[in-house]
Amino acid sequence: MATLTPTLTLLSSDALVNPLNLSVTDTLDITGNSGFGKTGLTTGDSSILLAADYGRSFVYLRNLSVKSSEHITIDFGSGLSMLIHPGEFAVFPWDGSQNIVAAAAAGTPKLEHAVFEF
Amino acid sequence: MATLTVTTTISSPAGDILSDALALNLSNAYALDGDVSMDLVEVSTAAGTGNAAMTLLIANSGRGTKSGILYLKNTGATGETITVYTDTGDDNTIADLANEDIFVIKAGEFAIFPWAGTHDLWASTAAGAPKMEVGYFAESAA
Repeated sequence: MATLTPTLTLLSSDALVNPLNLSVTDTLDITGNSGFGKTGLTTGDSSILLAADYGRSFVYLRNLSVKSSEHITIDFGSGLSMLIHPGEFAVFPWDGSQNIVAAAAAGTPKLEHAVFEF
Repeated sequence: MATLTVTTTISSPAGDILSDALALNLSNAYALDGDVSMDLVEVSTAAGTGNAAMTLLIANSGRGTKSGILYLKNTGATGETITVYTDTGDDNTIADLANEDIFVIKAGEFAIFPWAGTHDLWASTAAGAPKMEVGYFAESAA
């Protein structure tokens, strides 16, 4: 069985009254399919990950653009849920019930993505 | 203006997921402008508790006025799985939640993502009363 180890650190000296230094880690057993990719987007919808292809999965998304106007919207099915600015990323345990659909707010940004099925 | 630095690594040893070792290292510094909060929220079962008990963050009001970085972690015990929903219909009903679930977060698992802030986020658990760490950091770029 393959193992995936995600870690996350949140640091800020001035966001809260006291300094924030939060670190979390997890160990995930990957039992299904894995995939990596980079997709060029337009303002039309692009299905990045299909629910029909994956069960519950750990997903990584990153907006590779460096142009400030090239935001990427992420829908689960049809409702806007994420707004990824250039350079920003997301990691989350996708439940695999709705397609992950991406579109550019403007321009032609590239979305880097990876999926690891639990 | 405050700054939040988020660093994530995703790793796997050689021969596990890939023949070579996997090591993704991500980091980004976010300029914050607006509300910031770190809460520990008890998540309940949906049945019999009403919709209000399921709300994690309300869009377009209070903390959800603008998009922000959202951190979620299930601090519950094994078996206390949390499902997170986005109320894309903006109808405040649980009838259509089967079409609005986005994450299933088991005990010890976490998520970080730039929440669009356009629809309410709800959460429920099928068992127990796990607590969810919820961190919200409003972005200045939003």
